[in-house]
Amino acid sequence: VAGKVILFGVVAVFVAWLAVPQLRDGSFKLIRPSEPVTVVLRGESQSSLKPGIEPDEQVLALSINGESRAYSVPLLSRHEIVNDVVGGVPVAVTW
Amino acid sequence: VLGFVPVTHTTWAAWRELHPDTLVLDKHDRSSRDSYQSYYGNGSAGVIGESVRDERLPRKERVVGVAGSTGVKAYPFSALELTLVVNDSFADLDVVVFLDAPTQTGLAYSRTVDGRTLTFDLAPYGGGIQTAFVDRENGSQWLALTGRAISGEMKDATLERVLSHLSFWFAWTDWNPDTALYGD
Repeated sequence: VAGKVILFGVVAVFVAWLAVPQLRDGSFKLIRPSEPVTVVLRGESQSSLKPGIEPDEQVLALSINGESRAYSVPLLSRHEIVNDVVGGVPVAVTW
Repeated sequence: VLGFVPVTHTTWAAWRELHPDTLVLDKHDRSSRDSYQSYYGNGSAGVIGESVRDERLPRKERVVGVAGSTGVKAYPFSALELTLVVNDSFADLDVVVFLDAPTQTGLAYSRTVDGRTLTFDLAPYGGGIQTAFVDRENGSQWLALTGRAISGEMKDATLERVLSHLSFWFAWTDWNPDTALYGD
């Protein structure tokens, strides 16, 4: 029985790993609703990748000590809080 | 008590134009659909509900809630959409509250600069991120979305954001049952 449980667990983790790209690249924390998001930042000028935000999408945004950040409201609706460091200042952004 | 950092609740396009060097939380191409979209538009007070029912405004009216050290006040979007700029004083604060209607960006600044209290009007030119105030006292122009003076005697001065945030009316009154209400 123990062997079957272990096998089931391994299969479940493998399926989750396949299904959620964020787990594979290690840049996105496993989350539940209401669990904080590990911040991953992507400036459009830094790569050809797009941040995936529509122009009219609502964001919560801030600038501290010359550094600026934007956090998508639809994404915050899923996670409700982001922990980040902006301009050397630790901040928690909540929604 | 955690310190307060003012945020700007606006559109991605407006923020990116204001701050071309901004970084953004990576969405990993997740949908731009907000899972609370229907909640924003219905009459529900949310999962927890409300402990205070203040009928001066509809429950889901959006307000710019401003807190002074001796009192709080709410500025409804419905009123700001008519005037766009409100010069006001309450508690220990002299404030200017602004709504950029196209992006639904509501901001509150102290209108005390270098010990002087200024009075602002919307400039009859500009638009978008170039929307500007003009102060009556010396005619300086101030960008409304950043609070920074771009011309005149006060050039390069910056209006200080006051403790404030956007909220639904029911949530604001639940936390601040004794709130004053602009236009009441």
